[in-house]
Amino acid sequence: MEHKKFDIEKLPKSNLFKVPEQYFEELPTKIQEQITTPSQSSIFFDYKMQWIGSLTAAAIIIFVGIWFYPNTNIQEVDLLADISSSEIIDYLDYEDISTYEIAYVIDVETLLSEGEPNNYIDLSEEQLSDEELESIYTEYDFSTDIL
Amino acid sequence: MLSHEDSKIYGYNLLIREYQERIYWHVRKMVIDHDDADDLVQDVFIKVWKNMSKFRSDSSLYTWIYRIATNECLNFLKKKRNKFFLPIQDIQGELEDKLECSPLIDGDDIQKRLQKELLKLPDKQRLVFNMKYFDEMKFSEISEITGTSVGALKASYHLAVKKIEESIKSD
Repeated sequence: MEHKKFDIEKLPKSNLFKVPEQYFEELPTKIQEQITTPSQSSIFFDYKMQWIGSLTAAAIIIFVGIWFYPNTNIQEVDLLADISSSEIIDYLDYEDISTYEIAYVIDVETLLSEGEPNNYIDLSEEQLSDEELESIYTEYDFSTDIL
Repeated sequence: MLSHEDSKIYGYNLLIREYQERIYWHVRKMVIDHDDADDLVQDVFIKVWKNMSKFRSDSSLYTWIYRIATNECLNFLKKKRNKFFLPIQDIQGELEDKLECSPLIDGDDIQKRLQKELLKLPDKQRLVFNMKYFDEMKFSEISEITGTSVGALKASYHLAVKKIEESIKSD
């Protein structure tokens, strides 16, 4: 069976779509209301942008402050300056630090240069009599041949 | 140009009344559903209002508005297809159901059949068909709106006509 040729150009161009009553009369008003009233989302967006702007300004101020006014390095000696000698001694006794550990961290040059002069026995300055010297040698069993 | 804000809005109100029906029917034929068309038409005119300063007089105002409406339709249908990864068939089926069930669609069987056949076409081809067949626009005007060459538009339209006629004839 041969189908009749369908010619779309011969079809009446009717509009099967409908609109509600008064739709086109009311549409301009609906659009105008949206144009003239700022949306809730835009208000929220403006508030959010203000908040972000304030945070950014604060961050810049803090950054500039740190950049131009940096903190000085705190030396260990500064921290120890507030602690009394007796506290340090008590701490060393408590921690049972060995003499090796102490010697490891002590700068001998500093110790020698900063030590009290009276701590050193300058034998060259000592004026001992021959009898006193002989007494010492005998006590410590030093051979007089060394002398 | 209108300088006072109230005059500006009044003038824009006149512009809406001038073009709203043509823009509405152009959108409605693409999205089928009245509520969807209503939303899109409002979006179009709000967009036109916001971007009025960007309008270049190298095209007519109506062409420019029509182009915005066309892009809104295509984006709407694209989003509808991409939403939840629905296959194209479902969107077509959804629009066909609206043709059958919507109280705001009333036409004889052949008109509904024609619309169902149009839904089988790609969106852009359907768009070109609507502008040529229903709106009786010139190919040069359609070219200005879509940015497609006249030759490509003619080919697209005639292929669409042939496809529809073959399909309806076979029934």
